[in-house]
Amino acid sequence: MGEEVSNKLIVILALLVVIVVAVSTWLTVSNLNAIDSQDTKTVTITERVIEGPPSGGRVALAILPQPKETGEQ
Amino acid sequence: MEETTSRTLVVIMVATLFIALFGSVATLNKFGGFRGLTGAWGGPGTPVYGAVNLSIQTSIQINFTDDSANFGTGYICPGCTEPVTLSTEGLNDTICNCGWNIPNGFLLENQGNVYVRVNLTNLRSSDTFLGGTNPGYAWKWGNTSGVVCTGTNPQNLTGNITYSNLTAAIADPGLVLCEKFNFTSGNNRINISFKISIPTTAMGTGKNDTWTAKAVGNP
Repeated sequence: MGEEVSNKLIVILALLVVIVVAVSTWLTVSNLNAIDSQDTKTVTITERVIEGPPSGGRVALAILPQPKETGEQ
Repeated sequence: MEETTSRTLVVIMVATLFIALFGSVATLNKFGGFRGLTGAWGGPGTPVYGAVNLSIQTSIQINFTDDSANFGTGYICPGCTEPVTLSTEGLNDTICNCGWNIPNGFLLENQGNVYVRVNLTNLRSSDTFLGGTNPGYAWKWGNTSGVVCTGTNPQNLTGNITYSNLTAAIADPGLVLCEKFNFTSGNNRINISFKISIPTTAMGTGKNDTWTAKAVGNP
């Protein structure tokens, strides 16, 4: 049929696959760990309360003396 | 037969190699991982992940936007022997009221950006405000619209719908008018109405009472 593939080539390719998979896994895991261990996840919440003064209202009226009825006997 | 198996193995391995390489490149690109290979990772200029500075400004501000209920000057018309009763809701004694007008009540608004607990105080009772025999000085409050007042105290949910006579002034720290006074537009107004009953024996003089509303944040 065609040329015979040597066992050496197969072994080399197999090793390459193992190395690439191992390296990529290591890189991915180490990057994930780096993200997880970031110390800079800082959330600073500053609350500023502005309190207004009490509010006031006024009820008022003035009462005048009742005039005397005129023409009273 | 042996030759075919070897070739198939080679094809599978090459395919696996490419898939693994492609997966690695794609994943590392997502995480920016190639910088790790160049030594840039963790060095100067490294982006700061998850740093958030948040500033919240809370404004506690209530205000009597209508802060005057002035009945003006008047007297009980000659010939009348009964008290004259007036209210800021429009009640008038057209026969015996000589001169007093009918003002609006108070309008209290939450102009801040947070729910507040409102305490109300005043200085005078019906006796010290009007004087005379059996004077009447009553108040009530209610919503203008919407859900103005909520909270755990049921009496504060729907507003005080009947007048309450002030047999004594509401002293400090005051009455909790509203546990959670809403601040959202359309739900942030409280009406306070007054009704007075002026006896014929009330002293002829000027009468004043001051009401104060204090707010504490109650988010």
